[in-house]
Amino acid sequence: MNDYNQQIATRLVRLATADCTGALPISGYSSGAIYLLDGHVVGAESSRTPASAAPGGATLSQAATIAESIIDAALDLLSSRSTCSRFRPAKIAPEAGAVSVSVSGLLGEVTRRRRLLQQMAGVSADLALIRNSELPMSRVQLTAMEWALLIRVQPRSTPRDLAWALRRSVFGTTVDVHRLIVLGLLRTADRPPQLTRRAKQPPRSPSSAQALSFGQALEPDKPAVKGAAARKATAGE
Amino acid sequence: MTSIDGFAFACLVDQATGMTLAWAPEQGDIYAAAAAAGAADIANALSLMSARLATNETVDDVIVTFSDYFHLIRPVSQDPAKQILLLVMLDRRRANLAMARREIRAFCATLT
Repeated sequence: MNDYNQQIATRLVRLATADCTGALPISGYSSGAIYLLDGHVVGAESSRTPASAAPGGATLSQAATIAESIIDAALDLLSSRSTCSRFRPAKIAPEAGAVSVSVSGLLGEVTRRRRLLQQMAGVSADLALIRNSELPMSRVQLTAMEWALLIRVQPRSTPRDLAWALRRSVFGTTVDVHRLIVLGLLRTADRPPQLTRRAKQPPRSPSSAQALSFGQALEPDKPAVKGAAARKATAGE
Repeated sequence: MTSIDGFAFACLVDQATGMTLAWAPEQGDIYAAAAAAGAADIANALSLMSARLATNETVDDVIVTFSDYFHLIRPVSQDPAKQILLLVMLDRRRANLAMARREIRAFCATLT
């Protein structure tokens, strides 16, 4: 199921095959660029996703945060009807390759994330949310990040708004919001979509959200996100 | 990490997204996607359980015992901004579970 933007994907595969270095500008619904170094993706930015706030990429956590911002921007660019314009060959500093992703790995990860989004019962990055005014259980334990999200929810906030407020991944925030909906702490601000005559099965509404299964989103292609810092970390004795 | 007795495979996983960040050995890529997805699913199931139990505890590690391998899953750090899991597969015939847990805990401390 490669239902991402085929024009951009095809161009990326060609640039990777030719070991290109430079920037691929993208404009339209989502604007931004994907940066390549010797055919590997070393950066991506989208007008609809926050850039990484992590400096450098010296630690595992920083490298992972930078990798996440690349994938997050690429997911947004490749999920829109934007178009790419002429590739601009340019020098890219070698340190920009501290986190690099193969194009095939990037496309595999985008596909996996799109499958996960399909599991989320209508929860998307642009879904308007409200907090449930009453706890649906006698007590609950939240992580610091879940609490940070919850206290920032204004009426009709979306996961994308929350991601920008916290300068973190839109996709990761959407997954966290989905979990808060599963726990009954958040709900959608709008009524779930009505059944249509053509629908063979009732659409699942956000109010019936079930826990995600990463296993169900597996695909034959293997993601190959390998940052230098992360590689060093696993190889460490 | 790779020097732990019985070491077979390890990978780092972003808990929030289930994305594989790295793995060892290099040829272990055939396991990486499924192992990462499984580790993230287990961690997220426990996260929901912790939320509902509300016993003010955090997960130190998870040990899954298969017939031939131990699978150890450990949060690398409690960094709220980026929760990363380490999954290690160990051959049961050669591994000392108590020693391995100590070594994995020490290894995780070097990553933060």
